[in-house]
Amino acid sequence: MKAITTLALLAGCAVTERIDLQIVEEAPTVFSCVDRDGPLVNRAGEPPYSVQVVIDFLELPVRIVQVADILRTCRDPGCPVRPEARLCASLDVEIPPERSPNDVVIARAVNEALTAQVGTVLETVPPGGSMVRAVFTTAPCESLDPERPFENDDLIACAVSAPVDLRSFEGQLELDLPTLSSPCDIAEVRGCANLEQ
Amino acid sequence: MLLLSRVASAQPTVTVVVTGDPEGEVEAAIAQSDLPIELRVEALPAPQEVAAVETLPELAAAREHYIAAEFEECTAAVGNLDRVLDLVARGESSQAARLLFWRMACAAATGDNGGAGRTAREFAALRLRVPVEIELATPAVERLLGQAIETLSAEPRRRVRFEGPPRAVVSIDGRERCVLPCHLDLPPGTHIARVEGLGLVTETRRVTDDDREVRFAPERAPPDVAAAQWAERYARDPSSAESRESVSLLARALRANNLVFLRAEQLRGELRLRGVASVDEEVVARAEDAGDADDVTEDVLRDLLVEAEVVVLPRKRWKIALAVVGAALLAAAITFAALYERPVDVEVGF
Repeated sequence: MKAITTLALLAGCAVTERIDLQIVEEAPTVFSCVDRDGPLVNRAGEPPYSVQVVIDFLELPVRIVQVADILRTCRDPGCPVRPEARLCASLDVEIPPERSPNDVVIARAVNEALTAQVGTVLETVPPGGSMVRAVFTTAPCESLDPERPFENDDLIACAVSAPVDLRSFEGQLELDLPTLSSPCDIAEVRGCANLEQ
Repeated sequence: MLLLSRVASAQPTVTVVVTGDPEGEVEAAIAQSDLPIELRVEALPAPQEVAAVETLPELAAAREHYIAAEFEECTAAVGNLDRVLDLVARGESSQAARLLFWRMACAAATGDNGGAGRTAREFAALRLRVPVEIELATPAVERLLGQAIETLSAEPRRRVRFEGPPRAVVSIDGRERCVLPCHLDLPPGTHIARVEGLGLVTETRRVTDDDREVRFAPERAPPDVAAAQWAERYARDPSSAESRESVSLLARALRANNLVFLRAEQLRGELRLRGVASVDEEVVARAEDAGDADDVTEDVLRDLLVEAEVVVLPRKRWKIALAVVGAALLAAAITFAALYERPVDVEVGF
């Protein structure tokens, strides 16, 4: 009986783990995307950049790893956002004055800003497979409606993780934008930001 | 050796047989047993006395007629082959040989050489031992018998298949044997096949030249036959008493639905007790223990009767219930541990 109690207690003990999100800093980063007017990051003005980051958790089976499959699944049957898990935060991204603000420098600065200004995104992860998405936009948080797509003109960057089971995942989860073009363009950013739509 | 049985109004009858040394201590311990059974003392099946072989009246008559030269009367006195085969079937081959010999001698004396020859062939076919009376016979009778034996041994044998209860033993004319199912190569002529087995009534059949297969279906031995068989076996080999066959046979002999057979022996100053329990003539439990007579007897009896499910002890039942509950709890715990998803507090952040 003693052993059973011990077993039950052991089974009942909660374990706190942490998943560290990080924007991939290898070139070309998610901040290298352009439209016909140039780099999307220019929409945030001059450094220090003032942007909003929207972190979403999309329901997606863990077994899917190919980009084409992700796109196909999100179209049918869908990869809905978990609205309760959405986080929107304003970021002030400081670029060291001695550094040229290229996409790698910006990605590193964004990561530092996220760590310092956002920190914990979610304290308890949902069950099942999830894909973490970070959308950088100039639109203020209060104007963003989870039910509606991001405005094309406000988008700066978008990065997603691979679909993972957050309950069993440990360590660093990288966010990136799989692209088919170089540099990546606004269409890909829009697609990433509105996967669930 | 004593037979003890204890009967309780709410419990089935349990017959306990104790053998070995010290028999008395074990019996005393049984009398004081806490088990809900009462004891009754009886004697074990005793070996049957072997009846003395008496001279057949027809043999004495035949001999007298022969000596008196009353050969027709001699032939009439010895009867026919049926009587001979009946004797063989009963295992009295010696008497059968003498009867056949006198039939042969009387026929030859009357000049019935054909009849004497047929009788000689029957004698040879049954492969009977030549009786001492041969010294009284004429050389012609000796010659007939010698010729019949020689002729018959030269003729081809025929194969006969025997079927019946497995492990029963079939014997032919009290000579060659085999364990059923089996086959034997028999010389020409009529033979007596006899099948014997523990717990079976002995069955005999005539096997003629036309038979190629014989199927036996012996009846189940009644208690008195089973008792005789058990006693004969026990007298021949006491160590076999705890075998499955012996215990089953003893249970039938004693009409004991529930039987416990105990064998006691002294070993290095302590009592060693071995026990076998049978229910409805099937051995269902065995137990062995050593130590103080009272404790050992009680423990062995308890183990046997509980294992045999003859006695259901409350304490044991409580233990079983506890074991079942424990097993259920353990299974539930294992299932819980296997299926339970830990409450994982996973933080996601930068």
